[in-house]
Amino acid sequence: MDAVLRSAAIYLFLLLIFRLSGKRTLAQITTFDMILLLIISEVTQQAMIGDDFSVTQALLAITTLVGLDVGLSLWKQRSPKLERLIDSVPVLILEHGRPIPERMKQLRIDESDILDAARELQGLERLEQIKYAVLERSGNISIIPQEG
Amino acid sequence: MTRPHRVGDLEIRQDLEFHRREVRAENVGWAVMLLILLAALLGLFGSGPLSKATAQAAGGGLTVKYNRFARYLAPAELTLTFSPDSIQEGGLHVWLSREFLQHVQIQQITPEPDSVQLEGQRLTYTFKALKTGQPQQVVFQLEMQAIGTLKGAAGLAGTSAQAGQAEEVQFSSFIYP
Repeated sequence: MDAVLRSAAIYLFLLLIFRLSGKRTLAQITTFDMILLLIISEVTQQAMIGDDFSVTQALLAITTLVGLDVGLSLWKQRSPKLERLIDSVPVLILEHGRPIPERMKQLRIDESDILDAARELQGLERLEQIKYAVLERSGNISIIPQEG
Repeated sequence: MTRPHRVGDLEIRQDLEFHRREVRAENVGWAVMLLILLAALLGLFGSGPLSKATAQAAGGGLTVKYNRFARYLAPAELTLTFSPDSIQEGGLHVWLSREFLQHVQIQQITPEPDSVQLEGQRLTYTFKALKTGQPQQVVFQLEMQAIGTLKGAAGLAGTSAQAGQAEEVQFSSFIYP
């Protein structure tokens, strides 16, 4: 019983704290983000299974996590509001070569982040070559190049 | 799924009102995280200055130091300090309530008790002690086995009959899951 409750509590807490920390916080932009994720997983593991190292406990924990995830995705399909709440929304941060400073400040993105994505994804050199830049729900920036 | 809107040439489900609310919620969330961390540093979730509590018996013979906040399956400590007068012939006799002991696991008692006696709702520990005129101390190292509020009581055995006042201490801890 406690494996299910523990896993559910951890799942919901992680959902909340990652959501509140913002889309960009753990989007694996730097090596340190990845290290942070590893450390978090290590801490989480202890709380989920406690000192019961049986296979049953592990199976129950995994089933709870995957079950909650599937359940939530089914619910999200029916309710766009819930989907928005859990997955956030994409935000346009650059339009026709002109960054939108207010939104970028709110999302903690600067021009170099956009240029970074432009180089990596499209091989672009300057902001003016970008038609649209969007911060996706995943925390990644997608780039649509200027035509012609 | 709501239909994507059109922004310029982009078909995108942009919702700037939601975005603004989200930014506000994030700011509130950070403030809450900061408060939680401060509270944790102060000891609201376990070890820390706010968690340390002391209770003294009416007669002054027994002082109990305990954790106001503890955590499930985590170590905790109960320190009993006895005034020089509380040492009776043959040693110290101190009891703890069964209600408390049922919900903790005693890892170690320093020093080891000489004997333990069941007395209904109490468990009386006897420690050999010499009357040296100095206060004595016994430390119980515990592991909390329950979640929620845990009430406990400790006292000097036999004092209520002799001096007319019970050397008894009540204490209560909150145990986080």
